Amino acid sequence: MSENASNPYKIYTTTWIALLIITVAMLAAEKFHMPRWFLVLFLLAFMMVKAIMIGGNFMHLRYEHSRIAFMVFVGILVTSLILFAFLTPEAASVLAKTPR
Amino acid sequence: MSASHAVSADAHWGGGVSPFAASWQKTMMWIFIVTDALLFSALLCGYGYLRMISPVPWPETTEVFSIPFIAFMTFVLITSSMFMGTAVTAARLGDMKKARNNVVLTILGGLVFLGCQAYEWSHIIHEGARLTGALPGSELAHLGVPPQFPSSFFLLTGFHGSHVISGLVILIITATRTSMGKTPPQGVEMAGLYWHFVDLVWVFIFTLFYLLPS
Amino acid sequence: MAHAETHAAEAHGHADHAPQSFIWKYVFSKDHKVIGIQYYVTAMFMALIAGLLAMTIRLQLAWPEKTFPSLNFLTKGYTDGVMNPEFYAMLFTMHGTIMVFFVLSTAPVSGFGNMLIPLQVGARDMAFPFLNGLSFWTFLPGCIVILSSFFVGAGAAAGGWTSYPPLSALRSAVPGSEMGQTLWIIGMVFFIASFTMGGLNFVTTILNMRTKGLSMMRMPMTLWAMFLVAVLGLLSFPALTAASLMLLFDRHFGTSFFIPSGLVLSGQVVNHQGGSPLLWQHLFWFLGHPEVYILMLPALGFTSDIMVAFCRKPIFGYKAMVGAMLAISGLSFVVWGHHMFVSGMSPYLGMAFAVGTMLIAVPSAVKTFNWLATLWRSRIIFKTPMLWAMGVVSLFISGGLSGIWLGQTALDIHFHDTYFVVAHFHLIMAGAALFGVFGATAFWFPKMFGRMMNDTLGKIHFWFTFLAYYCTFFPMHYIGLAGHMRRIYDPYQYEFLKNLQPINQFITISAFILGASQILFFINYFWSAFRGEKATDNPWNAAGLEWTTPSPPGHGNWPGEIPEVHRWPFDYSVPGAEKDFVLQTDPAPIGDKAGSH
Repeated sequence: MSENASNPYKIYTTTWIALLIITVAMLAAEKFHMPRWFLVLFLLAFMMVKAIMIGGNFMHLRYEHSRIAFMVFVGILVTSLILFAFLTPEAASVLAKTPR
Repeated sequence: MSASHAVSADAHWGGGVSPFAASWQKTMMWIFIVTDALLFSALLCGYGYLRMISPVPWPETTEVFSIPFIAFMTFVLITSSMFMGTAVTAARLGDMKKARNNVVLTILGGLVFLGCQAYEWSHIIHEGARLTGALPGSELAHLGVPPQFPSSFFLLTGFHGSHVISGLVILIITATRTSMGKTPPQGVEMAGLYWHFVDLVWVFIFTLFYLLPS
Repeated sequence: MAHAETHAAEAHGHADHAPQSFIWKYVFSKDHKVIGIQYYVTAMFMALIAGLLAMTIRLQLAWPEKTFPSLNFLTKGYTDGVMNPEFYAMLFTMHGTIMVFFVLSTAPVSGFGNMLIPLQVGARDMAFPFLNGLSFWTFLPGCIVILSSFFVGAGAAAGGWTSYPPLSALRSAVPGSEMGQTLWIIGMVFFIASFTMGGLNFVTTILNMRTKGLSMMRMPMTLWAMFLVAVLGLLSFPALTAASLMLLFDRHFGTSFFIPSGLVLSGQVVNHQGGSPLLWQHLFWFLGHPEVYILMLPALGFTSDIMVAFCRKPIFGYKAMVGAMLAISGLSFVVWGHHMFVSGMSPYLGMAFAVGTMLIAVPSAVKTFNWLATLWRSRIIFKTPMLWAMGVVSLFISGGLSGIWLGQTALDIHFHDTYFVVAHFHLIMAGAALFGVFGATAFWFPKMFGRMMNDTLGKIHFWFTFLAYYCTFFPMHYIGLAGHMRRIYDPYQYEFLKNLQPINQFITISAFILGASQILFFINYFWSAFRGEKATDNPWNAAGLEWTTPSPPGHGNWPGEIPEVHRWPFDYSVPGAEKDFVLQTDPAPIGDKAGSH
């Protein structure tokens, strides 16, 4: 277990601070005038960073055998992306057909 | 207990050991987390689809919620997660007293979160939100929100809330059994994985429901 | 040795005390073998019910003009000997639901999976025996709930097994849309919870608890099938759970997830707006398609494992067979829209789904050709299990080919919702799964009960079933092509369908023969369980690990240490070996192929 030998609990406080900073950044992001698609991308990217930090540090995925992380990643992300990848064009086509 | 990557592939896949270098309990817990995550994922995809096709414009969440308050809720949950992680490590190191104390702190964090969520619900219900849509004549109806807005709000946060409640039940049992000396460190770790998962789902709901601009 | 310690630890943890009293031994059992049989027998009962529902459907389609006063005891269904049209909708809805979920997802997967996985993996029991028992006792209430829906006020759900909104979302739409549909949802939730618990056990056991020497590429095809089925279920069922939750809310809490604006019901405007019925279809079929592979993969696994024992030849192209199953499983996630070609879905998505559907034919063909190659130049022993295995191959081909037609968007515009589709899925999915179950039953019955099934009776049952099956479902291709639609109470109200009635009558009579033939199976199964000829530990001289246990295996499966595995389970007719098969546990290197598998 590659924990910090001097203080095994340090990782939790460090991650906690990092998560807080990222959350504040995400909140502050909309104050800056940026194109909508950029804001969306920014928020999604930071959301993934938070998820990786929680999964990696809090849930110890970083220290487990990489196969568990792989299984979780493929299982959740790939499956979700498949659903998302097909539903989005469908929504877009419904949107295009709806009179506004 | 770290996986020794120096061991050959045969030793991991050849039978007799776990290819994940993990106990069956941990393996099963992770697989369960994948399933439950996909449930939320499907709910979120459904919400996203309905939001995208909504002929009535989706409101800006800043007009409906106090985003700083929601951010505070997120902060509370993340903090409780930090305590949980500490508890797991403490249990692994044999410090069961510290483990139990941190589990109790986690429970407190969870209860605060639930309290905030209950307040948020009562606030938005007061503004006219119902499962059927915005109550005619209410403030929410004034904003002109589609009925899918309150219904997906209640569905997503309600389903997440039910996981928080079940997580708290698991944690209370864990804390009790830890103080009685009945829970092995692995039990604390399993409870921890579930609680962190609950936190993880909130990260997604927070971003995708509350923060995404209209 | 570390392996012995691991297994001693597992043995101690999981199977330390054999239960003594009847209730802990046979009712609330944690033993995978008992649980497997519990699932299997329950599925049999559900099959009986769903089969009777089918016979009633067939009766209506053959002779809608006749009256059947003897059926008036079905007070909800018949009035003065004539079937109520709403009842017809309940019949096909419940036939589909019960068969797909409570019979064909249960008997092969939960039934045989539970029975066989620990035996084939080399474990004393599943990873989490308590959860295993819980999964059965969650399944059983699901069965009760779904069956009870027939007896509630307005009757069972009537929106098709696919439960499309708005029909299923509006409580006043049709009689079955009231309590019946709600009970359908609740029954499904129980089922999904049970299947998830089972899936967790399957995956964990197969990954973590293989005995020493049993690498993934030495697993029998049944294990690969069970593993992939569990993965498919774990990844795809959540979408249906989510959709069911939303449907429940639409029905009872007035939400509009799936209900669009502008609906008028009985002259009144429906007070819902903004929802999307298409969303339900996407979420449902996201599960629905992997689900049909969940039904089919175990049969594919059984067929390979049975075939080798009766050809005395290794499976041709093991790696390709595994790869094909992996490809089928993976691709099954990106083809669901082929159920929705005419739904109003974006035609570009239709193109994407059609391509995926064509692709999935490739690994299926690989499997078919590999089976044929396995049979090629082998000494086939025509015992009952082998007949069923060959029946699976036959149905896989005939059912699979019509799938290629249906996968073309342009053709599907004509075929969708006709009997062509009914023919397709009954041949490939129901047929392959059913024949797989029968084959697996005949093959592993001696292991489970320590007695042999009667082979002669088995063969008679096979031939009646095989011929009647084709006679029932093959003609459906033609009536479908002629325009005979699905889910129709009286086809002959339409002039252009009037001359199809004789074909429908032929189908119905074949279906009756098919149904009646199953009596032979029930007799064989239950009689042989108590009075069959005693079986040896390895009556088929098969090479798999499960055949090294006693027949039936006792508590803990192996009386002594769990054996180590040294080879794959397909070493039949190996040059240089003293017998025509080599057990998986045999350490001796033989011939030039020593240690190569």
